[in-house]
Amino acid sequence: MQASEFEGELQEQLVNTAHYVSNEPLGPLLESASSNWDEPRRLHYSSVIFEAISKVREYIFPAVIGLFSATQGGWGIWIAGIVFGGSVLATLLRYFTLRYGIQDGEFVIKEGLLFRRTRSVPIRKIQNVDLVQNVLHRVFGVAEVKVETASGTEAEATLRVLTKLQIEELRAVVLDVNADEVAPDERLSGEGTLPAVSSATSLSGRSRLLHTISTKNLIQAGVCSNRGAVFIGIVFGFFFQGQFVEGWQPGAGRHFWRKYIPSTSWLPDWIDTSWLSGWAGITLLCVVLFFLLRLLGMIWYVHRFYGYRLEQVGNDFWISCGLLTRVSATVPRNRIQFISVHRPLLLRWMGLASIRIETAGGAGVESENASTTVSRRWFVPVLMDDEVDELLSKLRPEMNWLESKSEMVWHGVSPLTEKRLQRKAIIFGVIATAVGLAVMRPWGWIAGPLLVPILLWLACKKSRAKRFGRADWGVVYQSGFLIRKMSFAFFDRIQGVGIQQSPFDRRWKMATLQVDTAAAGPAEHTIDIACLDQEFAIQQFGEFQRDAAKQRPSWA
Amino acid sequence: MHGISVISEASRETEINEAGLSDEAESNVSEDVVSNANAGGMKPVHAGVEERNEVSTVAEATPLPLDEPTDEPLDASDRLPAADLEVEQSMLPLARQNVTFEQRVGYVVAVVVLGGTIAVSATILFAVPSLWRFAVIPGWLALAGFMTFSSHFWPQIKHRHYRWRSSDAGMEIHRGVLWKHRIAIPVLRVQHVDVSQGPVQRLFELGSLTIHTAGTRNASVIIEGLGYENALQLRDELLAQKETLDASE
Repeated sequence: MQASEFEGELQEQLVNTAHYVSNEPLGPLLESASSNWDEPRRLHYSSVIFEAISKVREYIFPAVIGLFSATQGGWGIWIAGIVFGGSVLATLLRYFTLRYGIQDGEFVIKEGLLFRRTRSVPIRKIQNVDLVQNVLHRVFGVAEVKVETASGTEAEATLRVLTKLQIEELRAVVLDVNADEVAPDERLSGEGTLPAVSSATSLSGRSRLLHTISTKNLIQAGVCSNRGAVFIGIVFGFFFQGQFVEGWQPGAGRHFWRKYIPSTSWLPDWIDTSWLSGWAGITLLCVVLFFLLRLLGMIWYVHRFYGYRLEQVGNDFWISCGLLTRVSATVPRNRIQFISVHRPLLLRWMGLASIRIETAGGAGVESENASTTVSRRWFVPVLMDDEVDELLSKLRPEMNWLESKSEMVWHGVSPLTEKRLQRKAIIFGVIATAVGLAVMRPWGWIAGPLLVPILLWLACKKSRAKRFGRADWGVVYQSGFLIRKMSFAFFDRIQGVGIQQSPFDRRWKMATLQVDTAAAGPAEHTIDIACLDQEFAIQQFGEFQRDAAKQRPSWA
Repeated sequence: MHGISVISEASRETEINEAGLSDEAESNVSEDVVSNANAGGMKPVHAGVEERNEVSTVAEATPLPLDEPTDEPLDASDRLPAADLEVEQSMLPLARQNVTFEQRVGYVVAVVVLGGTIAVSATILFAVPSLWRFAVIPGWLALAGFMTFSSHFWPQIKHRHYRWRSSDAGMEIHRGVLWKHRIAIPVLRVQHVDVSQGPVQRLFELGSLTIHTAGTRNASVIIEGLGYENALQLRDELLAQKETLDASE
């Protein structure tokens, strides 16, 4: 149903289906392929290498222990050998016995010699065919493929590894079947047959480029992010080893200089004598770490998202990005449960934002891999502020965000909120003062009184930032001052509505309105509208409930 | 759709406890009835436990709001606007015998904890050759007081603050004494429904109804302490309701 709309507008933006590695058009590739699926396919021969690498990673600890005990003259070497030999054998076995193919509309994988295992997934149920391609993969022109369905938290099948051609073949079939579902009038042929070539040509016509990210924007986003914090933590841990901290006194600055700069002849004399030098050292260290943090963030962003493309194919969104490790992932539009726009303070100052989404099913936060990270947590890692509205309305056309944004009636929190948050800030300040006084005399108390004005100011900003609006399609909730988040939940995706009131809330005649959606992870923003006036909250609770009940839950 | 007749222990108890409130449940509950219920209905009535056997005979009369052929789904706007989060008396409570059940379980726990604490601390204190060892007695008394409260009175208080309702809009639960909580699950979001019953619950003919949704926080909503028959009926009705709604349109 989207196809005609796409072809009509933005002809110049139509791109070929070079979704993951190269810019080669797909058509000729597929024509040379045998598009009949009678013969089951095998993995690429380089699979052996990649399978072995992953096995080695798995067994690295036992192997190290084995080798260690071997040096002691034990029989650990034999154990290590057996483990390694076994895994190599398993790898080879997997390569030689694994066959995949498509039979009667099902994706089938068979493997095993003694214990034969057959897994079949109805193609209609497949929602993602995601790829990861690191540098070594590229040498062989292959990629790791994950076939995902909506259910379960793990990929339905991981094919390590397939060639480009094999992948496109597979993707074309999946896309074709799913396209049939959304657009029955476009059905290309009868049941059972899956004409890969013809669908591929229409596929390249159906693809529309929605968004790309310039390297400049990536660098900006990297500068704003705290991605480098992990590395900094490691550096700190390393640095504070030894007596640097133990011997630390305000006057012991020279230790610092003497330790880390071998020849200090060029340093002025006061370095050794003045207490200032210690603080100077600390300051310098902090400055260096700060810049390192920014630099690492930048590197991370560029490495991860270089060449980012967001495309729309039929009802799916296709993302591909990565500098060394290329990732390609799909997100079916009707799987999107929740959209969240994040604008941290620094990013806001640069006029940038990022969009995260939640999808039903798929991997949970704990089992994130490269492709899910990209497709969910970092759906659009960075984009210009003025592009947000347009992209949002493409993500969810029913929402018609460009228009409904201006018509949206925003509801704020209870007028008492500011007072309540301020009281909380003061109580916190008092506690901080008392604790400070108890822990560190004579100046420990000073942190509390210093914190209070900041907290008061933040409380003020926070309570003003919090607001929500309701339209016939769903709810928009905005909150946060330092990290401003604006989230969209849709009535046909809302699973339940709740309202909660703590004894403290009751004192202030407030309540928290909660909206439960199918996934609440990567977007890091749940719709918990706290500090609403309780009467208003109860009324809204009823209306949310009614609106959610009216809409049928829609997911494929 | 099944005739809605979720009238077993729970609503029967409502009749006994709350001055025939559930008879009026279908017509919009007038305010004086609510106040009657507030005034007289909250005291624990022990009759309910003895009459447990007649459950099935009562299950025909008063239809729930669900049975009414209304055009509009029953929702918040049809109800009296509530100003705070106290329970709505027009909704159904849990089975009366659930209080007894929780109390009995509580007594056992209380006896074990209290007895254990006293035994252990007494053994230790006999070694102390001073009169100070009797200073522990107020501690025992405090513990006993707390255990009495939590085992005997708390279930009653909890019971008073628990209400549920199944309507066209779905399932709605109000609960909580200090931390008040309301949950609403639209019928179409119900994935599946379980009824379970533990061994002790079986003695009291109690059951738990678990509604599973595709949500995150409310992925499963449990109503613990319904009459078992009631829970089974409710499950069937919810599923039937869902089926009808799924089939329509």
